[in-house]
Amino acid sequence: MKLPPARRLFWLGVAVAGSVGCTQGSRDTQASRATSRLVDEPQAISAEPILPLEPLPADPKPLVELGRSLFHETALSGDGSVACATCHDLAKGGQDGRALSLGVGGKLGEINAPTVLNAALNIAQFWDGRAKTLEDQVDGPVQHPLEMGGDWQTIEGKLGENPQYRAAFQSALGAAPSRAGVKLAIAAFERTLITVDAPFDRWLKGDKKALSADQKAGYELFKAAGCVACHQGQNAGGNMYQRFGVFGNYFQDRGKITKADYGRFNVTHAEADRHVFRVPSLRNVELTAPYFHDGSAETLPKAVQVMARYQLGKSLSDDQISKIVEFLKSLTGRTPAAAAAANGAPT
Amino acid sequence: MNRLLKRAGVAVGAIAGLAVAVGLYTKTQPASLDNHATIVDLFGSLHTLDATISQQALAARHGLTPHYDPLTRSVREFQGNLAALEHELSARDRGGKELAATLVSLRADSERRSNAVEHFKTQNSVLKNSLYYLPLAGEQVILEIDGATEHRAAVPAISAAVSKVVQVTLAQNLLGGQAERENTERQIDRLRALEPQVPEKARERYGLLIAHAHTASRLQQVVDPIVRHEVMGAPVSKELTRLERLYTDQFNTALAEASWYRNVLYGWSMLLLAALIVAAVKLRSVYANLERLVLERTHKLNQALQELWGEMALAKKIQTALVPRQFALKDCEVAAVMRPADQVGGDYYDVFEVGGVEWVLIGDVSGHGVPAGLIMMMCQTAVRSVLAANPHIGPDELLALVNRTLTENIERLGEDKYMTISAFKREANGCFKVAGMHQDLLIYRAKSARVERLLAEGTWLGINPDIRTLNPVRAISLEPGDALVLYTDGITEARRQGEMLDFEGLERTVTAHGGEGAEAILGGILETLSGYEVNDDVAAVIIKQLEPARAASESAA
Repeated sequence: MKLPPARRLFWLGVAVAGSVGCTQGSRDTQASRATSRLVDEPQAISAEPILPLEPLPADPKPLVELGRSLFHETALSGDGSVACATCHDLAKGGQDGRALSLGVGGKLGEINAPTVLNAALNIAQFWDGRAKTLEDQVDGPVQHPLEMGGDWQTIEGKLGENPQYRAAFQSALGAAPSRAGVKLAIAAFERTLITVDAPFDRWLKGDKKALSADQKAGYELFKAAGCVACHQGQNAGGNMYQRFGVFGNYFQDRGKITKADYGRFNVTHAEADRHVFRVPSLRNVELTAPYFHDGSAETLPKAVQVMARYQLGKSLSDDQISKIVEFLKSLTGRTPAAAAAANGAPT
Repeated sequence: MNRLLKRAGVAVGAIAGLAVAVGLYTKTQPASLDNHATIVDLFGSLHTLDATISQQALAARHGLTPHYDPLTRSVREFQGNLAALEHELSARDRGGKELAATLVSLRADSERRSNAVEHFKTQNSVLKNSLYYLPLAGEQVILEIDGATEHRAAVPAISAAVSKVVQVTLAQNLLGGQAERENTERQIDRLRALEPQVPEKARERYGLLIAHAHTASRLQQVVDPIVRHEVMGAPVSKELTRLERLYTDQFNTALAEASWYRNVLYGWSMLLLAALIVAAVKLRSVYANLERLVLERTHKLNQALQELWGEMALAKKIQTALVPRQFALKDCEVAAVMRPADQVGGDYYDVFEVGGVEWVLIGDVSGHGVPAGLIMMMCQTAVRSVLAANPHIGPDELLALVNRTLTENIERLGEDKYMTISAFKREANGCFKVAGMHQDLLIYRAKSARVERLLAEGTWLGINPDIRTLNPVRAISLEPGDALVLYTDGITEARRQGEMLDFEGLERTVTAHGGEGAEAILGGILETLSGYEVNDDVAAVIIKQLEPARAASESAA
């Protein structure tokens, strides 16, 4: 016998009433889905002020590969002559070896190009820390008239016309080429540029033969002289700001003060931040001459000497300086294989 | 119309009832319930990070952690989690103005504290540089002074002052009180006063010592207040607690409201359920009623059908009753058969005597079934009535009279029918006068043992109202042993494997049985027919002429 419609309606009603009663139960599953954001377990406190580098959590591979292509892409500049890699040469310690960089049309920039190696570990980007993230940083040089002199509308147009980029953006981000996508991809690529396995890191991890006697002595001097007050942490610097010229007035002594010399003042407009810069990382420092935001120190011994005088209020002997320099050379790590140069569009 | 309105009312009521239920249901799902767990987690981790930042700043101040990575990470995480919390809270905008305002001030305080932490790191680094250098510098100055030859008298005082300044600066940094600070300043002033008596070669380092002691003392007065007031004493913790309390209050309110609505929804659901049950019961009774009605109607229909069948049977009975059973035909042996295809048939024959005149009729109404049967009965009645009044009229006259009645009646019935008929009137001399248009006549001649065929001539009944002149009269005389075979087309049109029996088939059968009696001839025809498929009414009349004597003895018997 077929169920009469009246009886079917009745069971439907029972089902509706039942489902209303059940809604209370689904709440628990929602709670269990909530992301847990508990604080990391406290790390064992290291006795050493510098910690070994470790690779960062990996971004998705298509995004990193897209970032690598874009990093080497000259189409990001106004006249198509300059790529990120032009001034941040990964084979030269992530910078260009010039005091001030040359931008589009051979224009001379206003500031020394900082390295992109380990930049992901910095507290903020640029010498004055005006970009809080790697993503935000991309906007700066791309649009700067003395650097890449590009504009995003043109860049998005150019990348959109290129079928390989269209495919790469689609696979990495599921979207067409865009300003936001370029920034995400380049930042993802830069996060892979961690130079692990420096001799000093090996020494920190227990390889007692990784450092020479001079380097060990240099490290002790580095700590005793007070360098380590700022150049500490995983990145041997990069995690704080400091005034250039704590003891003595560096800029007066050097002369010819430019706006770039104001440092963080340009960002915060607080008098206390005049001549304050992000403390640069000393990782791979032997590869990144010339030194300081103005590129005024051509060699490492010169840079150490200036630092001792203006930052530490001390004078170091030539022997001490050379030992510290020896130590600094032990901070040169392995440039990751992922950084191997790529030219132009993704393949 | 009234019923339609009622149905529309019920439908609107049902939809409205469900709509209210859905509306109530959405009210039981307060927005603040979404991701409540996430928000609680965020509050927890923010409280923890808040405490951790203070702890890590303190550890960095006193050299317990030799780098700023943990502090930097905690500040970044705090800011990130705060942004996430802000996102979660603003997603529901039911928090009220107070919650929003607290969030704004918490963000501002947190930003201020982040800046204070950066400020602390900057100043603390310089302080540490000077402070850690101080004991070493003091030792070196004393060594240099000891090794000098000039100002020997001042050496003990200078050495004591140097040791003292190192000592008080460290004490100031450890204890941080007003007295310690003033003590350091006094000692630095004293060192400055002694500077002219410092030997030349120690002068530079002596100056450095004073500079670093000064820096350490000055920065202690900068760094410690930052840690105490701007980092540890930041109102972040207080604001965070306040925000959490506001959120919890709001959440509880929303929860209470939702649970109130839930109760209302339960009540409403019960009402709906009751309505549903009532509807179900009502529908049930309606269906039960319907079923009963269907049964009743079916029964009535059956009854009507049975009655109809009964009437049909009656009609058949009448029809068969009208067909004569006995055939009073002088000097003749007569055999006849009538088999309607349906319950009632359209074939017709009659053999009778009226007013001393013997008549034989055979005919067929086009089609079969009840209308054909009716017309056949009309015809029979008309023939009998006409002959009862005028038994001596000619067969053509008889047909003309019957035709008039029939034509009129068929027209009244609105039936599109006609009738074939042949009427035989027996004359005194024993021969037949025949008129009418039926089938061809078959006459078995005993002398030649052959069958003679007389083609039908004339017109049908029921089409033309006046046929008086249209049916010629012919005479047929039968010798003893001859047989007149009358039949309807149900016989000649019987089929076997698509082939009709036809006139020739009938002729063969009659030839074969012609020498036998009337019953035998009829039996032969029916036997032949049994091998065929018959779809129409069947009627046949066989008239066998006997010897007058034999006929007399037979009639006597």
